[in-house]
Amino acid sequence: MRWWLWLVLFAALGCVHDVPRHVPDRPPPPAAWEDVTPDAGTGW
Amino acid sequence: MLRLAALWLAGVCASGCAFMNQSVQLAPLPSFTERTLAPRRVVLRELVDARGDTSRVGVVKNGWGMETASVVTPDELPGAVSDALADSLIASGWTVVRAASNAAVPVPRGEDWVLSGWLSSVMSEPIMGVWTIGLRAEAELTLEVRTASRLFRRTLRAFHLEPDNLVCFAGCVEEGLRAALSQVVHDAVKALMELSERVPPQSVEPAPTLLYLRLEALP
Repeated sequence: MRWWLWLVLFAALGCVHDVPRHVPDRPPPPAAWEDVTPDAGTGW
Repeated sequence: MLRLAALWLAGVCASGCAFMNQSVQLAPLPSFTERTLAPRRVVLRELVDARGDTSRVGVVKNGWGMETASVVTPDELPGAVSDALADSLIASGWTVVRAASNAAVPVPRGEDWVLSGWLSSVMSEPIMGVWTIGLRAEAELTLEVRTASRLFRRTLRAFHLEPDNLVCFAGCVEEGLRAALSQVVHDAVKALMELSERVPPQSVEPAPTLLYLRLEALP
């Protein structure tokens, strides 16, 4: 196998290597206040 | 075999590997002032650190997007957020009493509140481009407000995107994380002001001793 093929293979492996995301791509929708009183309904 | 190892090493180095942890300073955080029509007196319990991984606040990646090191901070983050939150509420005209997170706090009376919460995420992650590096940073804080009769909860998520640069060292990571943490504090202050104006003040029941005095005063 030619030496540069190893380089191509290694680069390709690096490209397809899936690293887990720690931070999402975009911010989630804003949340509102919830009434979580044990005997309460759903709040606002 | 030796040539292959040399090629692998050259490839790793050429991709901009960083095997050293980056240390960032995140405290103190800035405070904010918001206008409020209904200033409250609150007992602020220290926020709890509920992050899944408290050993790091971000990851360092090489040119192929592989994680090679961590971003760490010597600062105590829940304490820093608690301080910024307390300073902001005081600057906005509220009265704040600090308490430990596990302190026994009595049920609030009248217009008083007990405020507690937990920090569930502080994380940064580089975005590896072909020639540039961007950065995403997020902070997530959940607040609980106990009034005399109700319990309210809200989760605030701040997200900061650093623009692409040729390099992104510790200064860039620190800037992104501080922006996300500052944003979550500012959002928390605005959310508390909003709740303060939406929740009507509770009527204070007369203390039993006063009732007895009134009964004794009857003919």
